[in-house]
Amino acid sequence: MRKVINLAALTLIILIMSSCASQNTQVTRLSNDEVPDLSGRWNANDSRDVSQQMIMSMLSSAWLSNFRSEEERVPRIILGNIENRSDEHIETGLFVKDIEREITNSGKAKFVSSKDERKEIREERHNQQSYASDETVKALANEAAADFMLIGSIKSLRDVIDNQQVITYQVDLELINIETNEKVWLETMPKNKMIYRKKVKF
Amino acid sequence: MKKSQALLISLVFTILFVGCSYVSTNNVFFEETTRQVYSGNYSGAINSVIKAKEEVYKLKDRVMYYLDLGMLYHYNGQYELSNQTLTQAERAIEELYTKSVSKAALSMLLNDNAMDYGGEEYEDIYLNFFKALNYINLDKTEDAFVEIRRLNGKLDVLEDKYATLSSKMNSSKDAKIEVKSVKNKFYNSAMARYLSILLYRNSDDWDDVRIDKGKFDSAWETQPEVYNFAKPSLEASLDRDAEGRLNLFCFAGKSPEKRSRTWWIRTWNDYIFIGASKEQLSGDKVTNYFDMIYWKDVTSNLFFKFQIPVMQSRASEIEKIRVIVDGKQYKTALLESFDNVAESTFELKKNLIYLKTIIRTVSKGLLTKQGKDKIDQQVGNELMSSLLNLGADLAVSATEQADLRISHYFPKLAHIAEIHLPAGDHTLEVEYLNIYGNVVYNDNRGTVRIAGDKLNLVESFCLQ
Repeated sequence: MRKVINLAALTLIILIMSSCASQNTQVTRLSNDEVPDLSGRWNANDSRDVSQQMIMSMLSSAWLSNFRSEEERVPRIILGNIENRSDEHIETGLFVKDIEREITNSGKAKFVSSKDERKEIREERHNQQSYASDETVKALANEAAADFMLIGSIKSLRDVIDNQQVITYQVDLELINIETNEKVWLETMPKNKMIYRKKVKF
Repeated sequence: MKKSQALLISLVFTILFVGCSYVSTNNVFFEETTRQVYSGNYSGAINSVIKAKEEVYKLKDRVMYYLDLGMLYHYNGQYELSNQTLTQAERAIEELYTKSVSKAALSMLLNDNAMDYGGEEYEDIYLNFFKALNYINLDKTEDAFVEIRRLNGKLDVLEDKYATLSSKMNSSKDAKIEVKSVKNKFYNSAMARYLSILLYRNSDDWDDVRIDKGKFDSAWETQPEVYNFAKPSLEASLDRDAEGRLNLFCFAGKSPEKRSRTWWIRTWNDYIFIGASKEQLSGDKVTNYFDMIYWKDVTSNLFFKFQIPVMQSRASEIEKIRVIVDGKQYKTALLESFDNVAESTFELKKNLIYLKTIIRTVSKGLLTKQGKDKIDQQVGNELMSSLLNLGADLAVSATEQADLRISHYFPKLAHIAEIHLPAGDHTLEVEYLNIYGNVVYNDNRGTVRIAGDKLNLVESFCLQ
C-alpha cells in the first residue's frame, strides 16, 4: 500500500508543480552598470562597453591632432548610417548617441545635427524669418558644415552547438573626410559572448 | 502489483485533475476559424482566436496561439502587431528549449499533450520570413534583413540539434534501442534567398545579389526532395535596366496538420487481436486494419495502444495562379512548398517521438496487466472482473493520445512573379484558379503605384 501512496503522492506533486506556476511580478531598480544579461541578446551593457572603447580609440587617434594642428579648430563630425548587419534587432542609435555625447562633452570635437535633425531646425529657422524679431532672428545659410562623417556597421556571427553558443559581434566604425573621401580613422571592436542555455528546469 | 494498481489510480486521478487538454488535442475550435480564413475574413478569425485564448489555447499552447495570431495579423495587414506576436512566438520557442522536468514526467504518465508546445521547426523558420515581409511592408529594410539572417541561422543549426539529441540518447547507459538520427534535407530556403535577392537589388548591392542567386540555385541542386518542382527563372529579377518592377508573393492553401495513426494489440484466450486506425483530415477515425491471430498460450489480458502523430497535407482548391496587370495576363511560378518543408523537418524528430511513445505505452500496458491480474484474483464475479478490466484498458486508452498540436495559418505554397512596368499607376488583379481553370478567388487590388527606384512588393493570399 505504501507504494500506491508514494506513486499517487508523486503524481500529485508533479501536477501541482506543472499547473500552479507562480505569476507574481517583482520589480527591482538597477543602476546603469548592473544590467544583467538575461537572453544573451545585445543589451545596454554591450552598447556601453563598445561606445566607451570606441570613444577612447577615436580621441586618442592621430586624425584629431592632425586636424587641430592644420585647421586650428576642433573638427565637426556628422553621423552617417550605422548599418545593422547582425541577426538581431539592435538599436544602433543608442551607442552612437553615447559616442556623440561623450565626444561633444569632451570638447575635442563637435557633432553637427544629422539629416533628420537638420530638417526640423531648418524649418524652425525659416519660420523665424517671418515671425521672430530682427534682433533675435537667426541667419539663413550660415550653417557650420561638417568636416567628417562617421559611418559603420554591426555584424554578428553565431556558432551554436547543443545548448551552447558563441556570438561574436563586430562593430566597425569609420571616420571619413567629407571633402577628400579619405578615411582618417577606422576601428573594429569585436565583442564575444558565450551563452549557455539550461537544458532542464523543474 | 501494488505499483500497477497505483498506476491505474494515478491515471484516473490525473485525468480528473488536469482535464482533457493535458490528454488530447482540441481541433474542433479551428473548424470555424478555418471557415473564416477561407472566406478571407481575417479580422473575424483574429477575434475568434483572441476570444479563445483562455478556453482553447492554454498556457502550454502559447507558441501555437502566438503563431496563429501573428499569421492572421499578417494576412490582415496589421504588420506591427504581427511582428510583436510572431516575436512572442519566437521568444517562447527559445524559452522552451529548457525542458520542464515536471512536465516531462507528466508526459511519461499521460502523453506529449501534457508538455508545452515548442513549435515545429518549419514554424520557427518561417515566422522569420513573415516577419521580414512585415518589416518590408513597414519600410524597414534593415530589419527585414535581420529576419532573413535569423532564418538562415536557424537552418544552419537544424541538423546538429537532432543529431546531438539522438547521439545523447544512444550513449545513455540505459539505452535499449538505438535512435536513428535522420539526415536533414532542408538547410537552404529558396524563398528566403529570393527575398534577399530582392532586398540586395533594391540597395543596388549586386555582388550580394549574385551570391544569393548562387545559393538560390543550389537549393534545387542539393535538396531535391524539398524542391521537387521546376526552379523559377530569375531572369527578370536580375535585369539591371528595368524601369519599374512589380514583385508578387502569392500564398495559396494551408500548411499541413497533424493527424493520428493508432495501433492496438489485445490478447485474449490464445488469440492476439491487432487493429490499426487512421485519422482523416476531417477528424474521423477509420479502422484500416484488423486481424486475429491464434497463438497458443499467449499471455492473456494484455492491452497496448500506440498513437503517433503524422504530418498530413491539406488539400487545396488552387491549382494555378495568374496575375493580370492593366488587363494583361502573367504567369506565376512555384517557389516554396511549405508542405515539403514541414514534412521534411518533422522527419528529424519523428523517431524520437515514436520511441518515447513506444516506451510509455509498453510500460503502461505491462503495469496495467499486473493490475488487471490482481483484480481477477480479488473479484470473484467474472462479469465484474471483465468490466473492471475493460475500465482499466479504457483508462490507458484515454491517456494514450498523440500530440497533434500545430499552428493553423501558414500557407501551403508560395508563388512568385516579377513584372516590369513603367513607373506610375497600374491596375492589378490576382486570380486563383482550380483544376478546371475556373476562378476560385479574385484578389482585385485596384490601382497600385509602381515606383521606379524602390521595391514594389505586393502580397496576395488565398488560403483555400
